[in-house]
Amino acid sequence: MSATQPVQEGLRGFLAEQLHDPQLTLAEVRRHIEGFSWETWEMLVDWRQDGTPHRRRLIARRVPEAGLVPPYDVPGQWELARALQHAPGVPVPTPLWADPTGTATGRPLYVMEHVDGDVPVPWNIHSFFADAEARAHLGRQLIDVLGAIHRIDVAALPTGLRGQADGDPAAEVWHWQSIYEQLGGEPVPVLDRAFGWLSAHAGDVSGRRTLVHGDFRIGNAIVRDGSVVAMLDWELAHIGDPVEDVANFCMRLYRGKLKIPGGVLEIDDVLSTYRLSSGHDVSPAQLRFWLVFNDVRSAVTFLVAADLFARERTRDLRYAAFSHQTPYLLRHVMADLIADA
Amino acid sequence: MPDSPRQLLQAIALALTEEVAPHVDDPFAQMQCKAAAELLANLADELDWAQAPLHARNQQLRAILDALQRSGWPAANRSASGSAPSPAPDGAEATRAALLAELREGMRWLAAAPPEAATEVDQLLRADLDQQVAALRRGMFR
Repeated sequence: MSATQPVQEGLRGFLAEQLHDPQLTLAEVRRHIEGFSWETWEMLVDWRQDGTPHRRRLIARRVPEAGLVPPYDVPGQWELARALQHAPGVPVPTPLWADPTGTATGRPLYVMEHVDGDVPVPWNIHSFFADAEARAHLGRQLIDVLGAIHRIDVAALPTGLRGQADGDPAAEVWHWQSIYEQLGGEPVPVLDRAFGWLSAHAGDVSGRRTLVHGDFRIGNAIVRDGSVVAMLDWELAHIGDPVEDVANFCMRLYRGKLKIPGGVLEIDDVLSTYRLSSGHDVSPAQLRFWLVFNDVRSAVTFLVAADLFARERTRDLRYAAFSHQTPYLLRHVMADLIADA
Repeated sequence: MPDSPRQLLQAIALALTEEVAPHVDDPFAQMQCKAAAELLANLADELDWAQAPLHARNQQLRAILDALQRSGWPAANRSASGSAPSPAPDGAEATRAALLAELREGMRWLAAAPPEAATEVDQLLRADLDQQVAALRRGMFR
């Protein structure tokens, strides 16, 4: 029996119960290896309903053995996904069922529809689209989606999102500072400098409070026929300053070979599209503040990965490799903090 | 950075043996995996962080501390390292830990200092990072 067999059997039993067919079968089951957050399982499901055969491709997102951005809150993600179904202009996969207690596979999970398409990433984007205009078209679509996310009525969102009860516009910064300090590793001078800088510049936030995706970038979008058909990976969603998302899209880490945000749009184009989409300007100081924050957050995430391996919470060798990648991100921190080219 | 090269190599050997090798179907590739794990586990007992890079890094950290002092940091607690190259009794790793703790204090002071106080410090932080990156074999996240 393979190591994944118990999970597959658990998934089959869970889906058989949801779809009321004890004979339900799974095919083409595979665990996706990309990403370091939720365990993602893809499967083709065959079942019968009232004697009629049905087939559907599904995705299960299972709490990971050692994820980078805990807590992994299945009920919270489930409720958010359901709320987003009603948000105009925000494409998300349809959530179907949840196992919040982990009865089926030993860890909590939720199941959603599989969305056909591709996930472009900045390092292959130059070959993904026919020309610069096609890339920019997709980039503007993404920024339109971002504007739609930021127009969602916060009061209509499920309770329990981080930041909902904390009116401090820089609360997300202190949240990540706390994660960094609780790691208890040796101090990282650039991060100490950056958190001090963020504290001194906390007045540069926009003052707006919206739903923030938390990791809004092209690599979290599914694209089909040149259109954005789903935004994924909402585990960092919270209430806060929406400029954080704009800056995340513009991060140096995701500029690819073309050295432009997401590999698709110039910064001026990002900001002008966002102005049209959201009705709000983003000032250079606001963008700089959140660029530095996003660089810092990514670097802290790398430290978390290395720490998980060092403490034997995972044996995924990729986590160990993160410790030697952190200096690259710290260079991004300093470049944005000094605000040079 | 991980706690020590010994721990890191031992953990990698364990991961190769228990997590990777059982899932490699090709017998030759599986044996390569096991051989690499054995090699790493044995090398682990023979390694310590190389001292020369540690001493060089400590010099970089001292330079940043000196710049902080030139910027006006009172450095009330600056006793563990001094500005002269004076290794702590436990060696370069202990010195690095002391220097990093002092730098943390210095960075806290810098957060409330006038912006111009950071100019030289920021340049030295970048130079320190450039040296770290230059020493890396390969980078996935340049």
